[in-house]
Amino acid sequence: METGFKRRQSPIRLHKDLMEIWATKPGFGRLSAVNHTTVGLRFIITSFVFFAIGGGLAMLIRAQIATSGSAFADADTYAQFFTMHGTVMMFLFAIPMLEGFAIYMLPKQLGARDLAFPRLTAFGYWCYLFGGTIIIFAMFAGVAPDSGWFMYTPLSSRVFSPGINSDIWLLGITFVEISAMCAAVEIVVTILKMRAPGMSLDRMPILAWYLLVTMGMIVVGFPPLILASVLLEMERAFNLPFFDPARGGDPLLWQHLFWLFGHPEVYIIFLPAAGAVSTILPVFARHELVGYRAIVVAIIALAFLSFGIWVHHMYTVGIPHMALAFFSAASGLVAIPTGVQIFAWIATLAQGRLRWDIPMLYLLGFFIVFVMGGMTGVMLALVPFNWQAHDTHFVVAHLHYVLFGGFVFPMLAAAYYWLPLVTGKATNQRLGVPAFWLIFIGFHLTFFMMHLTGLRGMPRRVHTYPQELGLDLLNLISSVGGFIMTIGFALFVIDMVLHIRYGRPFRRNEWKAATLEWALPKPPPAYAFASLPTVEDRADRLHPGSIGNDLAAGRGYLGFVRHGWMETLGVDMVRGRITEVIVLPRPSYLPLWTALAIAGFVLSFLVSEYGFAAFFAGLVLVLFLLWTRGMGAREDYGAIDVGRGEKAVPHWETQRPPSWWAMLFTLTGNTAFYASLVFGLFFLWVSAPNWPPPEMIDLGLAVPAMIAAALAVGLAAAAWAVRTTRRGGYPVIWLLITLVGHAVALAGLAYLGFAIPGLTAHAHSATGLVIILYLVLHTGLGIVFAGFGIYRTLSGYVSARRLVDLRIGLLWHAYTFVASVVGLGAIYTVTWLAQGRPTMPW
Amino acid sequence: MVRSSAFKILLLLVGFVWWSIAFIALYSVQSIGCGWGWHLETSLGGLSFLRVVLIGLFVFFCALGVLIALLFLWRSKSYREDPETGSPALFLEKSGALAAYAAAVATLLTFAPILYASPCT
Repeated sequence: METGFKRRQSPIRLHKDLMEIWATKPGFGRLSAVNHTTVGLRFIITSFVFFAIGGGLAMLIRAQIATSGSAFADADTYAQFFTMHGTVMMFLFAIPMLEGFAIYMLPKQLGARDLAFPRLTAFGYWCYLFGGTIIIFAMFAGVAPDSGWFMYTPLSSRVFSPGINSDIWLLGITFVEISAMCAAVEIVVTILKMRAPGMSLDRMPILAWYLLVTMGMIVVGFPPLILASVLLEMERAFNLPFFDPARGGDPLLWQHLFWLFGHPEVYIIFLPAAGAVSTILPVFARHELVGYRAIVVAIIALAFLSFGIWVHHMYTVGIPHMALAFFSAASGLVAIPTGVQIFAWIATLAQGRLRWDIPMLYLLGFFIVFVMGGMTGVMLALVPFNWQAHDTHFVVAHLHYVLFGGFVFPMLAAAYYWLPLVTGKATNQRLGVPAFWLIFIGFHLTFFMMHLTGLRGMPRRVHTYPQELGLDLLNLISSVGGFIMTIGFALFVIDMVLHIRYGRPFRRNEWKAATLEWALPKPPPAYAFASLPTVEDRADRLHPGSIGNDLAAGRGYLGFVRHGWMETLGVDMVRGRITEVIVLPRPSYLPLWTALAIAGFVLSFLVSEYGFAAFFAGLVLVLFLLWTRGMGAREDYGAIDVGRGEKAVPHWETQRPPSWWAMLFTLTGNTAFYASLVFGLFFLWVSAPNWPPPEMIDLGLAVPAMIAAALAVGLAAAAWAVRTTRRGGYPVIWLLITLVGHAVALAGLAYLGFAIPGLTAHAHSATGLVIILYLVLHTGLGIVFAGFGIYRTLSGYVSARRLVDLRIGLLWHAYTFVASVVGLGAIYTVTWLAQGRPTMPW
Repeated sequence: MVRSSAFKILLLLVGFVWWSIAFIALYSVQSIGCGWGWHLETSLGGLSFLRVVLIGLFVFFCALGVLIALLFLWRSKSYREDPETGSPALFLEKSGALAAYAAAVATLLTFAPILYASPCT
C-alpha cells in the first residue's frame, strides 16, 4: 500500500518538499537536530575549540620548561598541564574530529541522505560535549586530572591521588568514549549498508575503506580502555583491588588494557587522515589513485598489526626477551603497510601532472613530518634503543611527528579542500600560505629540538631541569617554535573566518574532483541528495557536474517525498544492489535528554551520591526505551516504489536491516570488553604477586548449572518465537518463557554475587564479582529485550514480515548465554588453577 | 544469495585473523609456561620444555598460515567473474589472497624469536 507521495516535481518544488521534512528546526529546535551535516559540523567545530584549549595548555607547558629552574608553575600544576594537554588532544580533539569528519563526509561520498542512525549521531555529540565540558570545568576548578593522559596506576589510585582528579578523567573520558563507540557502530553499518545503488565494494571511495577499517578498530579497540576505566573507578570508589599488588592486583594490568587501546588509537587517528590524503592527492596529481587494491589490503594489515604492538609502550616493565621480540618484530612490520600507502601516493604523483594549490601544500607538510615520525617510530620499535630513549623528550618528539604529521596536516589540507563544499564559497588562499609556513617551521623548531633534548636525557613529565645539563638553548628554541606555530594556527582561524564571512559564492566543482560529494548543491542541504545516484564506475571516476544536475531534477532514486518519511536506500553489502528503503527517524530531543541523564549519572558518581547515580542509570534505560516509539510499522507494506521503475521493501520488512547489523557490531565491541575482562582475570593469576588468594571463590555446581540451563531455555524459546512468528503464529508465550529464563538466571547470579568471599581482600574475588555483575547486567537487559518483544507484538509492530524486534532480541539472548558459560567457566578455571600448578599428564 | 555475498567480506580478514590467533596463543603459552617453570625443564635435544612447545606451536601456525595462503593461490587459478556476485566478489577474492600472503609472512617474522630469544628473562 502506498499513498501520499508526489512525483514529477520541479527541482525547486522537490527541494522545498524535502526541506520541510529534513531541515533542522530554528530556535530551540536546533537542539533536536539529528542530521549528519549539522551534527558533523558541530563535532568538527567543537573539537577545534578543544584543540585550541589543548594548544593553550601546550603553550603553558612550553612556558614552564623554556628555561631551567622556571618558577612559572609548580610540579603539581605542571602535572595538570601535561595531563590535560594529552587528554584534550587525544580524546577531545583527535577522535571527535575524525568522527565529525566521517559523519559529515561519508553519506555525501556514499550517495546516501544520512547515516544509519541519525539520533545516535546526535546522542554521540551530546555525550562528547558534556563529557568534555566536565573535564574542562574540572580544570578551571583546579581539580583537573594530573596523573598523565595514560592514568597509570598506582599514581592514579586512591592512595596517591586522593582527590577527584582521577575520577574526573575516568568518568569523563568513558562518557566521551560512548560517543566514539556510537559513531563507530553507526559508520560501519552505514558504509556496508547505505551506499548508492551500484556502488559495489570494489567501487567504494577509498575514504570509505579507510573509515570502515578505522571504525572496526574503534569497535574492538576502545572497550579495553572502557573496562580499565570501570575497574579503576570501582577500585577508587569501592576499594575493590584490581591494580593493588598487595591484594593480588597488578598495576601492569592497567598498562596492558590501556595500551591495548592506546596503540591502535594511533592508527585510528592516522587512518582517516590517510583516507583524506588518498582522496585529495589524486585530485591535485590529476591522476586516479594508484594501487587501490594494495591500499585496501595495506590498511587491513595495518589494523591487525596495530593490535599486536601495544607492549612497545611497556618495554621497560620487565617483560621477558622473547615476548619483547614478538612486539618489536610486529612494530617493525607495521612500517610496511604504511610504506605501501606512501609509495602508492608517490606513484600517483609520479603518474600525474601535479597542480600546486593550498591543500597540496599542507599535504607536502604531511609527507615530510609523517615520514620523519615514522623513522623515529622504527627506531623506538627496537628494544635496546627504546630502553635508552624511554620516558625522554625523544618519545615526545616522535609522537608529535606522527600525530601532528599524520593527522593535523592532512586535516588542515582537508579543511582547505572541502571548504568550498561546506560553505558554498570559493577559497581565498592568501592567508593559508603564510599560515602553512608558520605552522611548518614552528612545528619543526618545537619538536625537532626535543629529539636532541631527549637523547641528552631530558625526562618527560618533569616540570624543571638543572641548568648544568645545558638544555636551556634547545628548550628555548623549542618554546619559541611553539609560539610561532600558534601564530600560524591563529592565521588559519582568521582565514577560515574571512572565508566564511566574505567568501565569494561558488557553486561549481572547484578542484575538478571526481567523487560524489561534489555532485551536491553547495552548501549541502539537510537531505543531501534530492534523489539518489546510481554508480556505474569506481567512486573516484565520476562526473559530479552532470550527476548533480540529474539528481537535483529528481531523476535518481527516491526523487519524491512519501508519507513525510525521511527515506534513503539500503543495499546489499558486496554488490550494492538495492535491498530496502530505509526510513530514518525524525529530529528528536531524546538524544539530548538521554545524554543529560548520563551526565547526571557521571556527576552523581563523581560526588559519591550512588543513590542518585542508580536513579539516573534507570532514567537512561527508560529514555532509551522511549527512542523506540513510532519506529517500524503496524502493517505490512510489501515492495514500494523507489523510482526508476524499481521497488523495495521498507527496512523493517527485511531479515537483516541496519539495526540488526548494529546490534551485531555492538555485540562485537561488547565481546572485546568481556574478553579483556576475562584476560584480566587470567593475567592476574599468571602475573600478579600475592596469589593464591586467602579465600577461594566457591560457586558450587548447582547454581551455575541452573543459570546456564535457564539461559539456554530462554534462548531456545526466543529462537522459537522468531520461527513461530515467521510462520504466522503468536510468539508471546515463547517470549514469556525467555523472560522467565532470564529472571531465573538473574536470581542465580545475584546469589552467586553475594556468595563471593573477601571482595576487598583480593583481586581474584573482585574480578569474579565484576564478571558476575556483567552477567547480571546482561540477564537484566535480556528481561528488557524479552519484555520489549512482547510489548511490540501486542502493539502490532511484529508480524511474519516484521521480525526485526525479535531477531535483535535473539542476538542478545544468544550472546548472554555464551557470555554466562564463558564467564562462569573462567571463574571456575582460575579458581582451580590458583590452587596450584595442575599435574600434567606427561 | 545476498546472505552469502555479505559473508564474502570475511575473505579479507582470514589471513590476519589467523595471525591474531597465533599471537594470542603463543604469547599466552609463553607467559603461562614461564609461570609454571617449563623453561627450567629440559626436554628434546637439550631444549627447555617451554621452547619445544613454543616451537611446535610456531611450526603449526606457520604451516597453517602458509596453507591458507596456498588455498587462496589455488583458488586464484580459477578466478572467474561470478555472474551472481560479479566483480566485487573477485575483488574480495584477490584482496583476501594478498592479505593472506602478507599475514603468512607476518606470522613467520613476528614469532621467529621463539627460535632464539630467552623465553622467561
